[in-house]
Amino acid sequence: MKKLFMKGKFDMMIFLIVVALWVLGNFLVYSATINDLTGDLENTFEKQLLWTGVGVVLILLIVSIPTRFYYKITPWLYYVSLGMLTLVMFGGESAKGSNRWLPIGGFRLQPSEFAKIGLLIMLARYLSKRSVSLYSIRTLLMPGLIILIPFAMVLKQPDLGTALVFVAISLPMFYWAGMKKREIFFLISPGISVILSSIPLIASFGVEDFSVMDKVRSWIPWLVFMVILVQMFRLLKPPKFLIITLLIVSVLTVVLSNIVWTKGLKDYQKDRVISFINPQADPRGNGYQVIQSMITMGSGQVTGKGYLEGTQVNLSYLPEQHTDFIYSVLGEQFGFVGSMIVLGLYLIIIVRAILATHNIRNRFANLLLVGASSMLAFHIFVNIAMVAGMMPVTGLPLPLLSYGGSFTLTISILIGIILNAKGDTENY
Amino acid sequence: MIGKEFIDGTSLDRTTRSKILIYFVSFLFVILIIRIAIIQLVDGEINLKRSINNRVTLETVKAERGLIYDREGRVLARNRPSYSLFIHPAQVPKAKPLKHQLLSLVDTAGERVFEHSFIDSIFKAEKELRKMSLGSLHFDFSETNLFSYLLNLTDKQGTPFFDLSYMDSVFAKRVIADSTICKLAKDNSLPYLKDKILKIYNSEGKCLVDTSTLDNRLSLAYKSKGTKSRLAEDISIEFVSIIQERIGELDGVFIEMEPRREYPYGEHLFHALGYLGDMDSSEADIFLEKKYERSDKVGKQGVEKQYEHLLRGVDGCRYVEKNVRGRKLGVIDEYPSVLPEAGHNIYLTIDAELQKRISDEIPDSVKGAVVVINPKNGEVLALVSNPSFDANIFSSARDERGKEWVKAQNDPLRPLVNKAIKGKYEPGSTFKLITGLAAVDSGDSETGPIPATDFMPVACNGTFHFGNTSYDCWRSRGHGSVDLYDAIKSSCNVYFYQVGLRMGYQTINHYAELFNLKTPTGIDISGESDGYLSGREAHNVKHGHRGAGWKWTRGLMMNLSIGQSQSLTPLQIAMIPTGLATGDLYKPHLLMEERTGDNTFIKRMEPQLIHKIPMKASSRDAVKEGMFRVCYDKGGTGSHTKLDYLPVGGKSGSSENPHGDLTHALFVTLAPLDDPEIAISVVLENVGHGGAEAAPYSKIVLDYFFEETRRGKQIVEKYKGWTEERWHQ
Repeated sequence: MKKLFMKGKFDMMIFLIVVALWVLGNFLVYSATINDLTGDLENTFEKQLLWTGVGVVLILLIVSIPTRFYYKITPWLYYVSLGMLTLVMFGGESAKGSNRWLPIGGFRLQPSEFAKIGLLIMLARYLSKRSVSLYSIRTLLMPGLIILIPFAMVLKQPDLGTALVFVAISLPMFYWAGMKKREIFFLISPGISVILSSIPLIASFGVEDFSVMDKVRSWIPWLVFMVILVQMFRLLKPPKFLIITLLIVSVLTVVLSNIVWTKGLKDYQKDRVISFINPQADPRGNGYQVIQSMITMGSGQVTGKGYLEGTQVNLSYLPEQHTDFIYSVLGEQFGFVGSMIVLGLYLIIIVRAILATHNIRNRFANLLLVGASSMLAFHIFVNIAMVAGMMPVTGLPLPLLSYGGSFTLTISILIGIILNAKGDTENY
Repeated sequence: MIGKEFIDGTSLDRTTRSKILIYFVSFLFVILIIRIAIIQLVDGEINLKRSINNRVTLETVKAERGLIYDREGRVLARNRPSYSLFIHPAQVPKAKPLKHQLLSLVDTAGERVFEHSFIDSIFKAEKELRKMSLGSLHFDFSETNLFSYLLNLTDKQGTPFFDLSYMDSVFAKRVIADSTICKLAKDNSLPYLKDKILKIYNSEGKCLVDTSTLDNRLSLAYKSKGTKSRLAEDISIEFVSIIQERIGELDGVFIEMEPRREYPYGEHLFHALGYLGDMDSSEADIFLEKKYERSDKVGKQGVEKQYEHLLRGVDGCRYVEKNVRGRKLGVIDEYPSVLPEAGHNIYLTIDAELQKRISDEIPDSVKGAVVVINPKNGEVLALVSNPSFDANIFSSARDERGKEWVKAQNDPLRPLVNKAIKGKYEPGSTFKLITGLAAVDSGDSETGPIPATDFMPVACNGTFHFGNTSYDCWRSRGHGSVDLYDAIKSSCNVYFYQVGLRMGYQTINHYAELFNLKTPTGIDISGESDGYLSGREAHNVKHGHRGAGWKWTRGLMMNLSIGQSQSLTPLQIAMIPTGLATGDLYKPHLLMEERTGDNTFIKRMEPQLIHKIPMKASSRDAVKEGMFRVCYDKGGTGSHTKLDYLPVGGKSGSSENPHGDLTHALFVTLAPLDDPEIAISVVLENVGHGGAEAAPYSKIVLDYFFEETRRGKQIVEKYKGWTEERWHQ
């Protein structure tokens, strides 16, 4: 341990920021649960204190093991994470309509959290020896498989948020592993097509007098995108097979999204999508959470009401204030200043992690850095955007601040990986 | 150590790529910063205002429940406004911890009652105590109460926290100041609130709620702290103004308007309409899934329950701003809201006036039921169960409702039971119509149909001998030799004994089942009983456990033929004349039309044919001829129901009952007999003979229908010139 510190490979700054955010997180969890009326949140603070304590130890442990060791055991970690996902499919505990938890000992583990790590390092290992390109589909077969297996299993639970995390990790890693920006664009074009083609479905949801003109109008965004896509084909001249595939896929997704919407989606998922696109459709449930969250956050104004002086959280009006909505608890008590400082600290971690790639020639380490920081960034963006009423309520917690055992451990591992990979310069 | 393949491009390449990634992440963060700035800086002040004591709450806007009308458009159920007192436990300030409360106690000399060091020593050691407050001490904060409360606090092993000798010494030498006890009470918000509510009296000195009711309701309310619960309902305007004056002292308590159901025909239609009540815990989950709130009233029994889904509508919601004390300031327009959709109005097939006439006529002391059906489409014109209960009681204040309800539940006349669909009675001689029909239509398996004009081998002399038992006819001097027509007219048991014996129970039950006498009719309200038809298998299943002597014997065919072993609901008994009308058996129903809340027509209930009863028209006509003679011939048992302007058919029944001196009186009616529009069954317990006691109620129905309704008058018009000689034109 001491040796690593001495050689200056250990990024003390990231480590201190992480510990500082954890301390803050514990204070926030305490303030959010101390006045709970229901009694359900008893010991939440104590538990989180324990989790973050374990987290610190875990980071130091991960840092002290050479990166090459992880390279070796990567497949096993990946398989174990898949195994846990399989277990949860058959023996998991359910809550709120999804089956996510695995009871182990006295705890409930959330295997989808660890699957994020499993996917990250497996992909890093695979891509560290190969380049990928959309123009040669063959190179994408294995990475595609590595992503799709956990993706499908998590989607089945269903946990859309986590499934999207997998995508968010993968794209920057593909970019690092040789894919060009235009290829990334082509790669995600079916996704964009799905989103745009769902506008007619969402717009007509619950609307009785949806006229033909309304219908035509709601298709315009998708049509515009298809025109742009075709123009890109003409300008960038990707291989023919890709053009054909993408066109077919784009049209197929339209058909599929129609089928999924009418047959496949559960009501609460539809509600979430709807309350994202049009909060007017659901002032109850998710809409309520988001409105209360925005009031809570906004009432902090510039400097906040002061620690433990929050009025919103005291009355338990904000559901899941200690998990998904912790950022609004922060905003209420510490105001814009507090919110910005935390954002700044997050940005420092991410930027330092990515900048470290300048000096590291080990591709495995670099891919780990890129993947891990993307994952952090995605969680932060999606969670805060949700709390601020810009995104659907996906259930993604906020790294380092939100309460949650599995999630805190996952983030510790992630930080451990970043610090470990950053320290890997010496190997060359 | 690491192979060449691991080397990650050139430094320049890495720098470019990482720059792009950093730009992208920064871009995302800038979006967040802008959004947060808008929420916290631009809208900060508004949000702060709204956050104080959480002024913004989502309020449900209840949809108005649909109205219920009768076939003529008379209102059967409507809504009236009323005020209720609610509590929202989460808005009741929380009690302070016990430690703080004890430390705040001061004696008359102004000194602390409990020393800091003592309190600290206890609370440091005992973790359980830290979470306690005096909240569990019921109001009455006298010194003695406090003393015994503290002494009774024990840990899990049962050792008291507070030492008796210490407590004695404290309480002996000091007098606790009233003011601090008072303050204790205020801190202890729930008991304080409770006391305040109990002290609300109107000008007559009547209190708003009594202690036990309030206790019950509070304990219920605190089971779901996040939602509002009712403390008192349908409170008078006087109470409303008294409470509004004091609302400042009552944090977490508020008054809201809520509609109450009102039934203009209260007592006359209780069973058919049902009523609204709190949801049972067993059904709560189902309702909550359908976005009901726990405090919502739901339809119980009858039409209110059956058509809950049509009547309820869809609740809306909106965000409202309240002041610190919970008083509403207004709706926040910029937040999303949903308008409520009023429930649908429904029109029933019931003729409320007819229903009222019938139920007014039957004395309250008589148990029984009257069912009136249009045999051409199954519309139920009247569904009377006597005695009845006033459904408006359910909308009155809780304690009064409770009293009436308990009284009704213990009433031996069972006013709460819908006897028309649930009560089971021996059909008695009304069943002879089925036996007779089976005889002329099918007969026995060897010789086939028994012609209606045939006499039976044994003439009726008042008794009939079978095996070594004799079976009586109701008329001890007998009827002589009769054919089917006269056997129905005079209700001659001996005739039906003999046809019954020839046919066997299978044939008779086959016809009974065709008239839907075995299974529930499927009327559109719940709680219907099925029928019991007897016969070898059914009899042995029902009585087999009683021993060998109770086994089925052929002698029991006698009882079965004359309707003395079956048990049917009055609604099923009404299916006998209904099925004879045209041979098409329609499902009885109460719903006629569905309309929107503003009375725009949506749809009319289509008649539902159960089946066409497979029987010859001539067989039906033979039975009808008998029914005609019942009413018009000399010696018929139903002369009380005859009309002189159109043909009526009927059949009386007097079923023996083991409990009373007098028989149950039954009467079924069909009119006009050749083209029936109305079928009636009357069942009255322990009043005597059907022809004398039940038939007059049929007459009331007939008089009303043919003389006072539009349709009835049209029919009468068609029968101009009709004479009492023949039943068909």
